[in-house]
Amino acid sequence: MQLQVNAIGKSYGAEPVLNGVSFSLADGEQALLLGPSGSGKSTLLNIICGLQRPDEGSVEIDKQVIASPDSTSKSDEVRRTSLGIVFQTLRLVSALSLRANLELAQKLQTGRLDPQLIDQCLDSLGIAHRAGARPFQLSQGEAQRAAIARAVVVSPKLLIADEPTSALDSDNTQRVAELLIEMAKTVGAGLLIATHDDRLARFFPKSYALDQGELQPC
Amino acid sequence: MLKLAIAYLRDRPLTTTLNILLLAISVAMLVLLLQFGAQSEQRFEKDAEGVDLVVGAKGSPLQLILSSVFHIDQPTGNIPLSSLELLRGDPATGRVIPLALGDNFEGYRIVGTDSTFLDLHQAEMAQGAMFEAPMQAVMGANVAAETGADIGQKFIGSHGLTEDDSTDTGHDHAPFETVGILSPTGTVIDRLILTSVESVWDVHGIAHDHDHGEEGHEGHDHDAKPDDHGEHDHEGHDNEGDNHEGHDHEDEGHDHADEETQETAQLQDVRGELEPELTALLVSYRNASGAIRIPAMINRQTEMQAAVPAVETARLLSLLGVSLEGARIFAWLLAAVGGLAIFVALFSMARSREGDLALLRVMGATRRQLFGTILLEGLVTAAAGAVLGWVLAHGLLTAAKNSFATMRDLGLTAWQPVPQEGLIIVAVLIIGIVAAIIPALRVMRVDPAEILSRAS
Repeated sequence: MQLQVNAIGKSYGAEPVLNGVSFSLADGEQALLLGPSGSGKSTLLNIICGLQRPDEGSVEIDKQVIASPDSTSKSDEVRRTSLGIVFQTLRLVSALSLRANLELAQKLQTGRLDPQLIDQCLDSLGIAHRAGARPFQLSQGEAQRAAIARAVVVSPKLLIADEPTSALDSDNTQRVAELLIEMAKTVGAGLLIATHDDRLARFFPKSYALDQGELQPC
Repeated sequence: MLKLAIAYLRDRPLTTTLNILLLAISVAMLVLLLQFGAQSEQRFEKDAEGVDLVVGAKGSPLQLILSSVFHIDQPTGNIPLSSLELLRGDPATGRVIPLALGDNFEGYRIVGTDSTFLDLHQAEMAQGAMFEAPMQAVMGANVAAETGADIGQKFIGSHGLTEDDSTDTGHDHAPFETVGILSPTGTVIDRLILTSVESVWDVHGIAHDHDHGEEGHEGHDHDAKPDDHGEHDHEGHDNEGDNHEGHDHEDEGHDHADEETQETAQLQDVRGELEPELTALLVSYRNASGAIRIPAMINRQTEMQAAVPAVETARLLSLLGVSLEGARIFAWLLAAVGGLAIFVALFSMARSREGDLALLRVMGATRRQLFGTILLEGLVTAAAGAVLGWVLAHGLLTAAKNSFATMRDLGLTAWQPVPQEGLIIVAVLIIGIVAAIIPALRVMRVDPAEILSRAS
């Protein structure tokens, strides 16, 4: 899978947030997107994930446009079947058990159910014994791993994580980073993490810094 | 999405249960009212078919109709036996059916009549034969089924028209023998025990001639009976459910107290022997002139009253209709409140569930799917309420029929759904959907990007 971000521009009113942001990720490549709060990281991720439209530029996966000012339903489908997303706080649907969440994600994103992959992910992440638990019954660490599981069970081409370690101490930060890297490798996906936590930089061979809407390699 | 909708409903069990109960109660009320109204009307029409006029003792005409045609209420009193011959002799009358009430067996009325009563209800024998000799009885289909009666079995009637009325004065001196069982007709006759008028008199020790009626009484040795019963006091014995203190046969096996017998004898000395009487006459006209002349003649020139079933039934249904309509409006209001409760629950949920909805959108759920999920929640709640209410209504009908004699006497069938019940269920489902539309539209407008940036 190849991700290509081409000259993305986005403004909120008269205030520009992203200004011609471009970068690329090769198949299975892992990268970090660093930047302080308000730097535009979340906006860039939202555009890549299809939650917001850019004012200009485009995002492509394997040369298929998944985000542009005039995105189509076809691009929605490509994006849905290509991306696995780990959000900072919104991890699981509250009314469903952990397993039911993973099943729902699989059905919605891939249109099929793969119980074997679910079991494998739960085992790999050490939360198989919590498969029947509801989200409010999980500890913070379990919930974090559950969110990773939900993103991975859809066999994504690109795994995206938004501030996955913001509330964690050093030990847990390292553990989560290692888990994400390992799981991405397991399913053969690329990995893009947006964070303000520069402690993660040592885990990634490639990092970008986003500041005042401009992206610079670091 | 259905699984998700059900999961959300299960996630808030108290609210969901209350909403379902609200709808269930309203559906149960509506179904009960519908069943009661429809079956009563059907029952009244069917039971009164072929009866143009009822002649009975003066009193409430509605009571006369209820007691003599539908066998629900107490009779208004007794009428002289001569009235039967009077009306049968009238050229304007067709069929004149005598009725003599007063006793019951296990809550089922024992009706003294003749074979024309079977003709009236188009009843046919399923087993055995029509009563001919005294103390022979024919059971209605329901009576036989409920009491387990069989041909040749004997039973003892109790005084009064219902089990509640029954005193401890079982007529054990005069047991009936079941000689026939009728096929089901769907009319009141299914719930009656038929015997000859003479048998009713005999049970109550009323002296009578043999040749007043059309029943064959050849085998009935009345030489002894009048003597046996000649000592009776009939003051309290009017065949209509009064207590039976004057009913103290002297024949062997009769266990009334001696002092009661003496008291009876004294009273009888004062009042004389009781004449054979009837409770009512069911009349059909031979020609239209009867409809004008006979009621006027009865009401003006005799001590009896004539009541027209069609008029009284219409009056009763009109009275019932007002009450039923009021209750029906209340039930629909309750259904509307149920819909409102669903609306409030889903509307408040839509806000508290924004995070989930944003996540679902990110996972690929379309706006239509989210809209459908909320609609499904409303629909599932309404469907659960409708089904529960329907079962509740029919369950209550069954319980009421088994527990209350009046309900049984009304002849209501517990599990006989009518098409309008389907309309009630559809209407409640629509209420559920309508209640969910606004919350669902709100959910469709959820902006996942905004929610996600707010959450982080």
